[in-house]
Amino acid sequence: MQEHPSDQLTAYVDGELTLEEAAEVAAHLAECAHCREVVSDLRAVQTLLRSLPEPSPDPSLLLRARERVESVLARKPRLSRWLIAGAVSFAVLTFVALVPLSPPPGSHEAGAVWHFRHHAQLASAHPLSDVTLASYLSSPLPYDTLEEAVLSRETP
Amino acid sequence: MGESGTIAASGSMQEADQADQFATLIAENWHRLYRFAYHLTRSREEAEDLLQQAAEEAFKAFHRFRPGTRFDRWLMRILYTTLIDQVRKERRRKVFELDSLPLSALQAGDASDPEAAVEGSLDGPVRRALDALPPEFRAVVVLVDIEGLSYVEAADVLGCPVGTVRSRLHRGRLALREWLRPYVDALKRGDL
Repeated sequence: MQEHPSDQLTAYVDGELTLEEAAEVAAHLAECAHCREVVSDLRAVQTLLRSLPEPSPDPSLLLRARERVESVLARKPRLSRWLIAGAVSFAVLTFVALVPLSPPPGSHEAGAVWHFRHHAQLASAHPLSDVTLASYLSSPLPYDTLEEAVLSRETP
Repeated sequence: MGESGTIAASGSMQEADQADQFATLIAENWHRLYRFAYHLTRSREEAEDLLQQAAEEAFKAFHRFRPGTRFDRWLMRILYTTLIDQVRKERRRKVFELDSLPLSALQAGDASDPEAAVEGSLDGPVRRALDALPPEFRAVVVLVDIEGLSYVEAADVLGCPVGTVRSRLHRGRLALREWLRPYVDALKRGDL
């Protein structure tokens, strides 16, 4: 006799086999009393499980769950407002600390170079900040010119 | 200032709409979700805690719910993962391998009382036997045998392959058969 089909018997009981597989299991069952017994037991277990009474929730539970969900909603905006306020304060303080308000005296080129160096400093400290990008874009001289000017002054 | 106020107001309106939509969906599926939570846990209190916790998790993740798919299945999956997380984190119950479950201890209980079987007081023993299954096995049995899901649907809820559903279901049912032997036999004889 061929090997017992094991978990195929469960799938057979549930109608989860292909027609071909189901036919094979049926042929096996016709010859195997042991597997017929298992199938009959599995059906009995199923009947016992389905006899369990329907539990009904406490009427206040839905309300309590809803209140809990609403408390999540109430917490959320407060948190994000604090985060936004904190981030803006940090950005403003950083900007004020790193960039003096008045530009240094000197020629147009010297002023531009001064800005560029401060912007570069700021950019290296805050590589992803909008301030860095805005500063670079508002620079009065092209990037290549500025870079060349800075390098030529810094090189001995 | 005015502009950011408008954005904040429209943002909270959107959130309020989402909360209403969520509340409607959860109310429509409430009894089914509670039944699943109840059979997954050991008591009414645990079921209530689990369902509330899962509802909160689901609301936080509601933006990931795809409209047009089944909300009850989506929340059942969250219920299941919440339970598994709780079991693993809190270690309230040791997750036994099915092979090492103390079958004899269970059989010594009222599950082996044929008189009780004949009298028809089945709820206690069946419920206790179900509770004795490890959660991964219990969930499959509940989904297929009590909730009537197909293997594919159960696999979707549990996030596992269909083959795993089939083998867990088979092993779970065989364990239940041993623990509920007197009732199974009484049922087959037509005494129940």
